[in-house]
Amino acid sequence: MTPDARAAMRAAIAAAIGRGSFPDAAADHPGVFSWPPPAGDRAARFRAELEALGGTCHDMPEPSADAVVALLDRLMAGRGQRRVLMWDEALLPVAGLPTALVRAGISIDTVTTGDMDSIERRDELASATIGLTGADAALAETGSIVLASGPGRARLASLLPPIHVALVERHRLVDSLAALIRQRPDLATAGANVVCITGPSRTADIEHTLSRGVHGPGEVHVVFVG
Amino acid sequence: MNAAPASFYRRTADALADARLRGAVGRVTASVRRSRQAALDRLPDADAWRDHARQLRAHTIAHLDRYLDEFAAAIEARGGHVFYAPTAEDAIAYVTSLVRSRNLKTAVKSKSMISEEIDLNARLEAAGVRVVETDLGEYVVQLADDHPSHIVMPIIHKTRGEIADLFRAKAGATDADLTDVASMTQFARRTLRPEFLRADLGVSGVNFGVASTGTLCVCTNEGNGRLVTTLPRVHVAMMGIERLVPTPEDLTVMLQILGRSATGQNLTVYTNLINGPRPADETDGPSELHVVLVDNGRSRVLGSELAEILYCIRCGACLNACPVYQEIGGHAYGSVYPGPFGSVLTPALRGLETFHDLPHASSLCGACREACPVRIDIPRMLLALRADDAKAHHAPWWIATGLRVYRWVATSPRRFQTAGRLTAKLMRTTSRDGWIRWLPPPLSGWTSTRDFPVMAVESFQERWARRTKPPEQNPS
Amino acid sequence: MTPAARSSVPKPTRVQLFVTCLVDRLFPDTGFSVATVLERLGLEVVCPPLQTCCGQPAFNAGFLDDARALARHTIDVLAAAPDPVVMPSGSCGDMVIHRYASLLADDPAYAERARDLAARTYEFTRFLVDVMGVTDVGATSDARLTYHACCHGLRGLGVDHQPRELLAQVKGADVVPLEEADVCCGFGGLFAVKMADISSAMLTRKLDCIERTGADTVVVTDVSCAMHMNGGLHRRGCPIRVRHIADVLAGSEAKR
Repeated sequence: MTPDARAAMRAAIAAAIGRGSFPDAAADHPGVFSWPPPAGDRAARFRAELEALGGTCHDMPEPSADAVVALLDRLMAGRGQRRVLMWDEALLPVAGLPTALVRAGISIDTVTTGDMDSIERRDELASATIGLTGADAALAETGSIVLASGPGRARLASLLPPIHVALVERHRLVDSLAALIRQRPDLATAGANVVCITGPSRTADIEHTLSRGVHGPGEVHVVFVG
Repeated sequence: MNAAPASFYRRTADALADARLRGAVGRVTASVRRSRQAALDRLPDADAWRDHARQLRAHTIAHLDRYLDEFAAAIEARGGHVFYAPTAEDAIAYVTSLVRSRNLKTAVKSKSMISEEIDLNARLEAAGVRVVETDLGEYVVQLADDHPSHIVMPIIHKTRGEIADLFRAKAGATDADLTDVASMTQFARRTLRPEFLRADLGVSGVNFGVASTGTLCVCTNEGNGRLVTTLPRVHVAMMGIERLVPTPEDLTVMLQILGRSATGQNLTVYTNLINGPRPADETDGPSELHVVLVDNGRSRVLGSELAEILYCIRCGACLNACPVYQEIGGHAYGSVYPGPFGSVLTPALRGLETFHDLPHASSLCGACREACPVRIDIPRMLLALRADDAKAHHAPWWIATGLRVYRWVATSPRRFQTAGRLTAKLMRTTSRDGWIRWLPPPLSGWTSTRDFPVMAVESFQERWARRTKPPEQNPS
Repeated sequence: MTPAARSSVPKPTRVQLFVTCLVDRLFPDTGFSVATVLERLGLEVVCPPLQTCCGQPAFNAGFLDDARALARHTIDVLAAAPDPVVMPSGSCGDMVIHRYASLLADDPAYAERARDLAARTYEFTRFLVDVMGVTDVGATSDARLTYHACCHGLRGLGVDHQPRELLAQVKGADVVPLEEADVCCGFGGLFAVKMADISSAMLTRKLDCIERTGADTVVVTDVSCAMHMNGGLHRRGCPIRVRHIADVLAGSEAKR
């Protein structure tokens, strides 16, 4: 589009605004909204919300690679390939995971540069049974986790496998999405993609009957570590 | 958008005769209404959130030029492309030229009402691109060569049995794939997964664009919205020009009410924020991002008394609340945008010539205004459109003439009382037990299902005057 | 006016009754019921002569010039005295209170008068409860009642708790809940004729709910909705009747 065409459309919009009527429109931005702080315990709320959606919340007060692998091992029993698609180990809040996974006979995949250009690699990435990630935040009000993309933080790990396991440090638990963005406004643009995941993938398109795991993971496990 | 409707009345009659359709729409909308109410009840100060959301939408729409500038600049600063499309044709020309220049062969799509509005699928197919809808409901719609009948629940009108037949006939499903809704869902997952992995173009809609950051917010429950915007090498995001909010914090206000109003969820499962194409140091995500800002009549609406309809956030709550929608479903409206908001938006965007019946397809009960998370006064705009319609002489002769006579009668108390008395006497000649069972056309619509009470020969005012008349002036 | 100032204002002693065109010619008894209840509270009821119709049928059909003509006439009739105006209709009340000002915004002779009238116009039950502060009007009834919330009163004027409170005080009456009490009966004025099929389908749903209540009387605040539902009930051969709330409230031991 030529700059002129864009300017023309822009001018048409500006002129229209001069003619239109906009009930309750203030000249100035209405400012920020204040809400009452939610009552009750964040961790309990998070668990209740996530479980209501069919997700699972785990507590790992003394985290170790072996404990995480034991969980993954249990989750993938009878579920296809013993394969985990994961973030870079340095970005996960539990150390030593690759060694422990290999020791348990679980293969590891990560998304690397150029993978998107190869159909074979895409299919391979899609064959993992578990996606293992960290998270930037957990939201008590909705049982959600927030994941920003970035180097070593592949989006596909929380998306392609049928099971998603997120390891989250307890201090990352905040009240709500609104509270999170107010506290950390930069987080919304921390990666080319920032996703807020609220429970397992679901649909109710057929006769309004709930069904989980349509395109994203049908199982979501949030593991609070520490 | 679909072809102009043949007749609203015809489609309405078909819908009303379809007991299965009405049962399905009635059941589902009732269930979603309950979920919505429960979700709003869970949110402390829900009304205050709604008030603030309304103010945000009002302010943004009234300053759309400024926010569009900010939005476009922020996207471009991150390496995304922005195209302003004044018309549907401009939008289509941009996307088709893009698919040619990038040699794109297969597109996966997540739900996008704006691409339905401009009929993008058919035009992409014509340009040699295979288009696969990936939202489960939209996938069914595409297999059935049908249209969505609800903006949030596209196949509210279809039964499980019909969908199973469709999967068997058009997608190669076996009986084992169709034993229940869960197995049908897994069938769709298996069938569509290779499409995601192989597509080179992802087309999505946009729930909100954040002006200050150029962020695109795409909400889905199934995860197809994430796959469509992550796997293909080119992502095209289609959005109406009005879909903006000023800041990320404002976005969180809208998200507090969108999911609750739409489906009764606190948040949709995947609230996906897209901030440009894949940077050099990331390993997945599309390498190109194109944002197509579609006007297609919106700036005309912006410059009118109907601008408030652009505050709409497409949650569908007004459809679920509307007793008319509940009876006739979405297809009867003959537009991509059905229900109460559609009865304003469709004629506003596409003109009253074709859609002059829609503003009249309402009892003005106001349930839509009450359900709207941003409190859009839909009845006010239906009335404004009815006034435009009357000016354009679309009203049936008997209404135009009848109202002119009524005005002449009712602006004179003497004529009013005389006409009332004469009508009452006339009615008495055809009534039985105080009821009239038959009226001639065009009033026969009433008596097709209802009796009409006869008027009183002596009116209240005549009796009242008798009662209050001082005795000395009343010789009897 | 501040809330404190409002509460110190003495309650009116005289009201103007605008009966509405439907009550005038179709349900004149209801007009007397309204007057009876108001007089029982010691109010002087004046029914300004020359009143006709508020203009809503024309307004809802989009014929604004015709609606304006009737709005001006109604303002002339009701602006003669400064007393509050009471209407036994949420629908006509909503028209006068919420539509007149915008309808006549560009009419220098009437814009201000339209706003003034809107500020002192009340739907009947709102007037009783919110202005007069009364919920027990001395009514008795042996009927089994249920309440349907008429749309314009409910969503336009916030009329819901007032009629419910009034009914709760009717001695001897049994009040039972109505499923989907806030869903439209499908009347909608010309809508019922122009879109008769949709309107009829809505009415069917409403009447099915009514028949399930076990009530013998459905109470409403608009005679238009009563006319519509009664027309359907009569056609069905169902003995349940819909009555304006004034007709229920006017019932008393003394009268019977």
